[in-house]
Amino acid sequence: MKKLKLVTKVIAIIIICLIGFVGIYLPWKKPLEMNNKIKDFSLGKDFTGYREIFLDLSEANKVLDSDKKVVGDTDTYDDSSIKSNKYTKSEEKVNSSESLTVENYEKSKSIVEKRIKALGVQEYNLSMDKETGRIYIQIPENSLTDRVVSNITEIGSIELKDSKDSSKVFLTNQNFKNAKVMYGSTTTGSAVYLEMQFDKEGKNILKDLSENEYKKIEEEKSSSEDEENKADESDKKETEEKAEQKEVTIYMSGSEVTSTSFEEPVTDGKISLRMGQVTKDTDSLQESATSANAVATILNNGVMPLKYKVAENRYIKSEIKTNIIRNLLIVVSVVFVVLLVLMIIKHKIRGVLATLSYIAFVSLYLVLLRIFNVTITMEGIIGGIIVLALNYIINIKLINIKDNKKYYKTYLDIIIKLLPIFAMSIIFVFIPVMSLSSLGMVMFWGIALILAHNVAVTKYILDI
Amino acid sequence: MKNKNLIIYIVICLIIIAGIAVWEAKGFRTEMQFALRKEIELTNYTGIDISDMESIVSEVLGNTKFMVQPVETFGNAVVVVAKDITEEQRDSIVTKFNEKYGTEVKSENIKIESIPFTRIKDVIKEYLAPGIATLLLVLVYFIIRYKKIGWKQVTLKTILAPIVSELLLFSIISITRLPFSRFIVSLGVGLYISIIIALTVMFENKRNKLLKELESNT
Repeated sequence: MKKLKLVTKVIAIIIICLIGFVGIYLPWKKPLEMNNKIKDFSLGKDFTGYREIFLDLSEANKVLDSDKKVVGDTDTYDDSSIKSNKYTKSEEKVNSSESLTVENYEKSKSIVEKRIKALGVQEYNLSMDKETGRIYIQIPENSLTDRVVSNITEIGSIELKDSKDSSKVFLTNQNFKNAKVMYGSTTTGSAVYLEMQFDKEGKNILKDLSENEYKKIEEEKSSSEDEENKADESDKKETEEKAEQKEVTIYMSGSEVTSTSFEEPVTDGKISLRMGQVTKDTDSLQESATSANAVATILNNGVMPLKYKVAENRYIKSEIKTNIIRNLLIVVSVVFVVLLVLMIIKHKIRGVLATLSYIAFVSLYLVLLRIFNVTITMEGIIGGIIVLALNYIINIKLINIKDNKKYYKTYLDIIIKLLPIFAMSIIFVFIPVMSLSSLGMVMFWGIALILAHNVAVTKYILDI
Repeated sequence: MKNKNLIIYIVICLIIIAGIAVWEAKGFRTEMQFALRKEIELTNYTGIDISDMESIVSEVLGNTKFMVQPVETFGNAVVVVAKDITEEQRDSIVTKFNEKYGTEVKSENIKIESIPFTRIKDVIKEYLAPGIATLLLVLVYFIIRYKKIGWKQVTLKTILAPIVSELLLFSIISITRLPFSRFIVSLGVGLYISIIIALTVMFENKRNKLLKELESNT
């Protein structure tokens, strides 16, 4: 009976190990094609590869229309389009020589970094050459990458101008507070809106514009030549410009976005721009929301003092070769095999049973990491090694306990000792830095499994 | 025992001071992934074998450390990265590449891109705020749970242990001129986690011992 029990336990362990190390193969669509139902590991950019982006300072010249107003630059317009639109190429560069300072390079780098983070990138390397202003970026290759690349170099300026006279600028980034994405529903469908909030001064300007009045207050300071009248005198001259229905044009990063005349007075300092069509299709809505989020991110993170262009953009496979990872895993495995052999030598039969339990733990741990799509980074691997070491130490503590009560007492002691680190791992999971959230996930699942495994499997195998 | 502990503390202090002195004088040695480096890209239509490229580059660059990494997923483009690639070295690599693959790549079309160095503080800054926040939370937990040991002792050890251990790690790296890399950063994180575990075990055992003594006295 005892032998049968032991054989049953060993078979159960072997099955668990097979699932963990080999997988569950089921027929895929074609009868002879088998597919592992347990997902493969999700690896971070340290192990897979990354998108490498070089941002260089634009050397473009400004492009002017027939009224000598800036319509763009030579990065946007080539010679043929300049000719066909009857524009002229100015001698003035988009980045003046006075603006090419280290301070502006640092500010640009800081804004690019904020945008990268705000666009949801959790792993990145960023560096800047202080002499040339070149910015070098490494980000993971995934569904976000192209969106990041297309948005990080936007200037991020916002201007509200008179539609009839674009030299009249009503609002700029100085009055801008923040932008956010909203959803609106009608009977015909839903739409995505970009809501822009302006500050107190902007709110007043918008109110005046939308109520068909725009007061222009001019202050004239006059000072008398007479010494007795040297005290400051200021004359306020108020002129009122009564406009007709004011039509305004919104420009973002120098490009015209839309024109509008206000249907009703704007008293809350907010302008909403519809992004995309009114639709019932959720995919289209999602796409509009993604674009709107990108615009909001650009506006919310400051105006770039310099214009950059993407000079190089390519995917590079990781420099950490697979044989380095394999060697690391071999070294770690050898260390643990030696420790397990020592456990067997010291504790004999109970050592063997505890070793089987340990192998089952490793197998279940690997399955959990794959099922829950935990991204493995360098920090994640270190966290995994810590978990394996912890479980080994705990097995050593539990191996010689034969009394049920004492087992649970020791187990409770272990729970209390793991509590701080378990709480830390939960906090790390929610930090938007891939290396730390990977570490958090690896440790969270590891500790949760330690607690479950040692009461369900180890106790069962050791027959307590 | 006290003398032994004192000697250990003195040795740790000396290592940290030496480490800071070396860092002030020379800074950290960095792995290529963080250092100022040069890069050239080579492509063909037939495919490039990485080990063949490594042989070619090794012949030209000699003992200079370099990496050859595949670009995109089509197998016909690589980047060669090294601390420095001169124009002559680029020309040699291109010539040998053309000989190997029968291509007619022109050296003047291959640009030597300069990649600026990554500041170590930019690498580490992402870890500082979460590290400090979690340490403070753990400290509060320790003060409440281990009040029997004394909050001053608990606070001092909880704050000093991770800081001193990280300083020791970076001092050893600085003195031994081990290149600072992503692996070192993750090692630092692992060390922090291990210190918290060790502190928990130490305080818990001390608390249990004090409780037992209290029980036996009553």
